[in-house]
Amino acid sequence: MSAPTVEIHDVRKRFGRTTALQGVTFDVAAGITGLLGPNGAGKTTLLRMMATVLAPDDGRLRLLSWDPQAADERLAIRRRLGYMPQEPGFHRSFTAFEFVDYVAILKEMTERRARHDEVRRVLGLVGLEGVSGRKIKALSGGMRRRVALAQSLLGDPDLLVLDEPTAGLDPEQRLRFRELVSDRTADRTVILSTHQTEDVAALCQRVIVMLDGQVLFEGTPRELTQVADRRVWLADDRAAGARLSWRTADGAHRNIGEAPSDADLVAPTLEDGYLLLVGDRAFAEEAA
Amino acid sequence: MAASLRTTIDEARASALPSLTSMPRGSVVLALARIEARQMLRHPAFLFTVAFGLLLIRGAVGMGVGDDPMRNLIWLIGGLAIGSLIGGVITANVAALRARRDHVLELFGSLPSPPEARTAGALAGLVLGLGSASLVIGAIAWIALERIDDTAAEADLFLAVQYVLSVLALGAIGVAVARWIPTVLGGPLVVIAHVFTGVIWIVPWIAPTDSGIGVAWHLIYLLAVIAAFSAAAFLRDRRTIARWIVTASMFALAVVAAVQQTPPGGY
Repeated sequence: MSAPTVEIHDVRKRFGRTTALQGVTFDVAAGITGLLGPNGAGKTTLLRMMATVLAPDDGRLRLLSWDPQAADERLAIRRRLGYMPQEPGFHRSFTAFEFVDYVAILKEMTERRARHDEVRRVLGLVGLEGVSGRKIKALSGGMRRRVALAQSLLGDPDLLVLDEPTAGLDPEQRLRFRELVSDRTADRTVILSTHQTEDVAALCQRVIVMLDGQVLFEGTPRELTQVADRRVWLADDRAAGARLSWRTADGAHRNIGEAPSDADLVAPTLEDGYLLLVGDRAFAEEAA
Repeated sequence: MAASLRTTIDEARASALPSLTSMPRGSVVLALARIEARQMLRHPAFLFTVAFGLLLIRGAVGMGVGDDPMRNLIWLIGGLAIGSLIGGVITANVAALRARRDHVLELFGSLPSPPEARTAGALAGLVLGLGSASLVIGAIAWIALERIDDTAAEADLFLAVQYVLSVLALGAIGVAVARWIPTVLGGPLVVIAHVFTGVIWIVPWIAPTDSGIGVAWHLIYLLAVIAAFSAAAFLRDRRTIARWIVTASMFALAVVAAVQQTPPGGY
């Protein structure tokens, strides 16, 4: 792995009685890193820290080699950061162009002509050039998410933090998103939190799985897929050793779990690996 | 209700890491001001109150104001003035409230410009938008009064200046109220409380020179109100000792000027 651009060491965060993060440690280098985990795993809390809007209670965080706790370094980070929150708000009375333009000003892009060119560029990247003059309150949910994505791309940031960017997008737009993110040059860092394992499999060089405020897995998508090696098989019915089982379109049952020796094994997917990993931990906790 | 509470909690969490201590760039404030000015002038609340002011004046003076087009113009401008004074409070309030109401504080918290940039943008937009509009209305009113033979003597430049400063003062109150009482009802409540608590009669916003008002003190009063409420808005962004001192000093100056401007026997 090349030099890390995001360094997280023993980061902890509590909200009242709830522990959101309990000693999270990992490094991220340039490229696309996917963050997977069930709801409540602590992904959004971690992303808010990477977006410099939330401070850890304890631990060390360095973004693009700067410390976000120091005010002047935080400013340096924010000038190179693009952030798409999980629930992005919008100025509903603004048009898509006006809103992205407003964010561009707050990103200190004050030269009007250059700023407007940049706004048009990012709206074009997300395929909204045709509706840029339409008020945000008149746009569909998917279009609004693309507006949120567009503002995060302003100024081609070195660090792009995206919290569930593909939620609510139609399949064509998801593919377009993949194309857009993968086109970014290799020296940029993209952190992508998602529930869509297909997006991680298609895009990410690294994947981190979180559960209960801890890192459960860190590696490549291939390594995560290998967790399910020899643990996925087809059968006529739900198998006894299966943790999960569902009937596929051709009538066979796809089982995930401890396969019997004579099982009709099939190639696992990243989703299988993720489900087994998270399921294994949940199963162990249940047993304990 | 639950969603609203959750959003409030989220925003409180999002603001846990304080923004930078630096003041916003002038170029950022100016660019924001252009947008805010446009938004204020075309905001339905502003357009509605201006239209309502016109209708109110028209209703108050009746249909038979005479055939003198210049006199009709004066009534028209009076309606515009009342509408823009009320509309100014409400739209400035709505503009300063927008980020919280639209739940964009988390996103804005990740951007390099501090929250003071948005407050300054709203205040500068107030000057650029409503200030310019009121300047035009005030100038037209003054010219119109001067051109009518029997009102030429009443043409009072002081009235026009007071009107412009009053629009800015009420707008600054709208911004400060939005920063401290973040509810969409803040603007209308200020207007209602202002009229029905009698504050409006204690220190008038606009009074003719021949009312005996201390002209210089009244202008100082209006400027002090603008400065005091602007400072109060910035104080909400960051509570520093310097900001407390400036805010308190400006409020004190406004009180002194309010007392000093009053004629010996009252109005």
